[in-house]
Amino acid sequence: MEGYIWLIPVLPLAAFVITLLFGKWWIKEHAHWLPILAMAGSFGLSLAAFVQIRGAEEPVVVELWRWFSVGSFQVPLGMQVDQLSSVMLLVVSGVGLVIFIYSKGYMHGDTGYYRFYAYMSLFAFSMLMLVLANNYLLLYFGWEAVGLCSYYLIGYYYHKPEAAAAGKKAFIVNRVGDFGFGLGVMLVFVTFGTLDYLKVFELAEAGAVAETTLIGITLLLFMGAMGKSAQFPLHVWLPDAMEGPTPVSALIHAATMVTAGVYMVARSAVLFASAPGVLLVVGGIGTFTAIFAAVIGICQKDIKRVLAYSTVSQLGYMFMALGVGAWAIAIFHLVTHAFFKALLFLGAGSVIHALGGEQNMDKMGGLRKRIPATYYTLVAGALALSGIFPFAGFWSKDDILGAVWRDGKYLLWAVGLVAAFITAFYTFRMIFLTFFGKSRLDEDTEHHVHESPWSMLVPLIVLAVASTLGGFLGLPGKLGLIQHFLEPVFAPADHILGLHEYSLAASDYVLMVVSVIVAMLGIVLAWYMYVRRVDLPLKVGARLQPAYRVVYNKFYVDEFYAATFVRVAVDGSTWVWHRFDEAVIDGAAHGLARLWQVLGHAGRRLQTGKVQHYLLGIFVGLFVIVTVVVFR
Amino acid sequence: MKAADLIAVIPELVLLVAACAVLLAEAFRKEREASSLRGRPRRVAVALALAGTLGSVVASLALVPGEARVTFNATFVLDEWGIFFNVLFGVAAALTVLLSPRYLQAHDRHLGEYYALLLFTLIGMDLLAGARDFLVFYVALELMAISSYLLAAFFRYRLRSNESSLKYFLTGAFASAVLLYGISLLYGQTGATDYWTIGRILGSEGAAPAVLLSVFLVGVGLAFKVSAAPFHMWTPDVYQGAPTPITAFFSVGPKAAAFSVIIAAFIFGFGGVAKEWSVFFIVLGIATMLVGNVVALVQTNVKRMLAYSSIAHAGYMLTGLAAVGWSRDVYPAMGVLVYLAAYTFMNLGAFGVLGYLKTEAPSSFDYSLGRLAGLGRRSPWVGLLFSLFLISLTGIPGTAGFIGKFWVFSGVVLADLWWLAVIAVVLSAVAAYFYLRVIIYMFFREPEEQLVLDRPLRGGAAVALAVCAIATVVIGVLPARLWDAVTEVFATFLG
Repeated sequence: MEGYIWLIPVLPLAAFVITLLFGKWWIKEHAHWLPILAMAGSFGLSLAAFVQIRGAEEPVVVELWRWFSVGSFQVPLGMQVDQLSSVMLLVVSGVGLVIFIYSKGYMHGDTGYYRFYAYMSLFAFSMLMLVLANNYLLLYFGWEAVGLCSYYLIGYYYHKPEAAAAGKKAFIVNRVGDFGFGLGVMLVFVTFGTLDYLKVFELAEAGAVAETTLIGITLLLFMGAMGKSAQFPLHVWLPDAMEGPTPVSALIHAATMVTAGVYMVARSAVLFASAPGVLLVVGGIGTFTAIFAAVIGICQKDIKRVLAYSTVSQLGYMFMALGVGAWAIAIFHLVTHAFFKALLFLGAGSVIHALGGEQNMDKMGGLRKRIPATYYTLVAGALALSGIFPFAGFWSKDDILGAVWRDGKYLLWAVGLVAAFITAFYTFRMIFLTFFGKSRLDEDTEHHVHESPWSMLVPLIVLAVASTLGGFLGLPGKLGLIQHFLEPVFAPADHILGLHEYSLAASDYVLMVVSVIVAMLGIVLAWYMYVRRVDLPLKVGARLQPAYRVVYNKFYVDEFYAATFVRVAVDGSTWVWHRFDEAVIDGAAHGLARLWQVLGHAGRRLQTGKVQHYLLGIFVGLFVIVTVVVFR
Repeated sequence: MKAADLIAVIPELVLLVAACAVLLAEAFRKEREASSLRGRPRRVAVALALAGTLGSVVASLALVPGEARVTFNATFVLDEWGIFFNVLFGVAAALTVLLSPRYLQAHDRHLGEYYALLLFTLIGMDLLAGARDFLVFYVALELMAISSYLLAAFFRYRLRSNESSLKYFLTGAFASAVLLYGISLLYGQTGATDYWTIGRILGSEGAAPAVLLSVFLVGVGLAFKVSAAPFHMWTPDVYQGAPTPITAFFSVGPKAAAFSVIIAAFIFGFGGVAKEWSVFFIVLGIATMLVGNVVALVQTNVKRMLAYSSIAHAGYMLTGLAAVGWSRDVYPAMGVLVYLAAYTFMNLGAFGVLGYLKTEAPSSFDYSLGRLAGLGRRSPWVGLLFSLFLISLTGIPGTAGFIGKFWVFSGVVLADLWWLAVIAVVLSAVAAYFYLRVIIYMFFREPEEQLVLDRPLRGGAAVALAVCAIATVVIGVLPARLWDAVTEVFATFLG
């Protein structure tokens, strides 16, 4: 495995470089081949790594090269493959491959076709580096690089002001989280004297570090995770990020990049387990985000925004799981979520494609018969997201709720259950609004409705199968393959928390039945409101006018930020700009520049061009030296 | 002298054979019309020169010794140290050979002697790096210097070239006299000329004025060669007047050779007064960085600006030398070696680009900044190459220049001379102004009159510039290999 690990990220990198250099003039509309082949190669190698790492006790660490080292500070480029990273590799390269293939159909004919594939390849490289890193510095590199790619791709339609603004927003909001993350990484180095995962965790396990320091480190790291994984209150960027092309939303803003925060917390499980207070914060914020975003999702009209809030909410579930030390289950939900959320986004993309770019669900309806393949696959994804037996989301979400229950966090469990009800409701609200009822399409789009090409349908079908069957990877209790597979990674953290393997009890079955019933109720309610009594939503909306308006406006979080942070930042910077920057800094800089110029002219005058003066210079230098030597 | 002694000088012998072959081949060349021939390609001479330089590199690498080869009564040593420098000089000379033919043809002055002289200079440099005796060192220095004077005057019908050579010769002779005086004082006190004996005897004497005087006289002689202020004043005139490929070579080759001999002689011979010469180099280093960077700011001639820039770079390396003496540790010297390697490629590249421009626009390109305006848009590849070298000279991370500065300055900091490192970093920030200004001119200024280049970048010059660019990036991104090599050099260097 040591021999080929480096190829996994390098293949997409090569695809990026070649596509970017030659795309515009030479490759043009064939730009998809190279990235798709590169992704296929990465996926194959990831599979091989997965097979080889199965059951291994120790991670495989490969140090490729060392950039430089000063004293104890080293900048190595090392890769680490263990069970956790191999699962992530498979998700990133597998889902990535499917989405790359889908994009061939979806992006076809776009003017920036090669640019799209180049950035997507760069993203794949960065994300693979992120999960392969064996130290926090390289993780940080990957972390920032995926953020950069996200920025490029959100603003892909850069001529649209909303897209440009959304890219900027994503970048700035992430800066807030990354500020904490960067500090956290520095604190790790100051505390442990190394950034290497294995060494850091070893020291933390040995209890070499005070708990207060660990609390500081984990809080800072979690701040980064909140930014990247869009947790309240840093969730605001993700819905706006939907301005990017739909495959981007599927790959970056649903399946992979936004889960980097979950991955990072799981990777640092030992640190978080040693700071139980912070775990409570993680679980609390996750749970709150889960229900908060789900509520907003009810009132969205844009099909992609519904899915965006759903992603925020599902990420909240993952943090809920992490908060009770159910690391493996969080990763399991990450995997199933990658399947069904990618499916939902691609399906939504297929709908949008069929309607020539329409995203407003008020202008859809009755599409069931007209784009059947899209319909059936999308329903599979919706069932998985709602948590209906036996679809993938059922197993992972139920595992999470079960773990929370076992941990005795009944309040979190109850909130999670309510969120599950809302999830089922808004998911099927979306399905019913899109595919059922009377057609509310515009005249011209009415005629152009067409099923998507095969390059788009095949990925949908693949993901639909994965969303249907993927849950059997993680059956609860001792049956769980993925839990068992990940055990070597999380054993130390579990040991610190005193968690043991558990057997299924009667209560677990009761919980499962309860959660399925709750989800079914949500679907039934959605059916009643959006298929049976189509007049009802408006009435309910009118009755609950104030509440509806608050939710519809996303709890005014954006407005709040605009009135406070943005305002303060802009006004403050303006003040600093005039009073400090222009006066002090610029003044000093210009003064210094003038000083150097004067010095330069003076020095230039010494250079007369006459040899006798040069020799005199040498002589004066000598004379001074001799004088100093003799008379010192 | 035994025949086995010659093994250690095989690289130099290869060069000698090649140089003589070039001269012979030129002598037997059929002259049809003497004047018109000067614009012709000289394939044989170029090929022989290339074979010679690369042959010496290969021979050096093949000679990687298990132990140091000490020869000629311990006056000359070929060890990892010598091999490192033989390779560095050989590569620099080979790149110069590649850069030269079209330039010389464009100036109607393509003669075989040029390559022979270059090879003789190279022999002197190789001998300098391996010398462990002041006499060998002096003879090698003069071999290098006299060949350099001739090369500087190679365009002898041009006033600038003559001026360059004459100034180089006069100031060089003066510096040699100072150096010789120092060496004679050393001999007077110790009765020896080899580094080790001198080191042993001086080490027991301490910092007596006579000792310091001789050490500093030698120091001044060498400071002249690396163009340290206030002994630098010849540099801008000589660099500006000499043929551009030769300037490129001067700025990296003889300078690096002088650095190699400073490190060896001062560590082995003058280790006893390390603190004292450390102060000497600190003062010189600050003065050199100051003069180089500050005066470069106001230059409008890019070739002359690069001459001042090469003075400034010598200043950075001098701080590394100062740190060696201050901490009595070779760690900063390792940084200096890395710096020399990085500097060789980026500086050769920068001058090489100027040489190419002069070749293709001999009459309209006068090296002024204004003539470069708009170049980046007309010839993007050339613009990008030049930008890369300038960025590296500035010391931006990801390029060789950063790695060199990083290791030298970290050595300075670890020697507890952090304030010196601060001065050096501040002055290298000043340097960003005049390097980046060139890039701004190339890409963001509208030209008054478009610079018309006869031909795109092709042939030997293209190969040489590509090698420089690749080396600049590779050293910047993957410096570990170079660092390992330098570590190995110093593992055997101290014996």
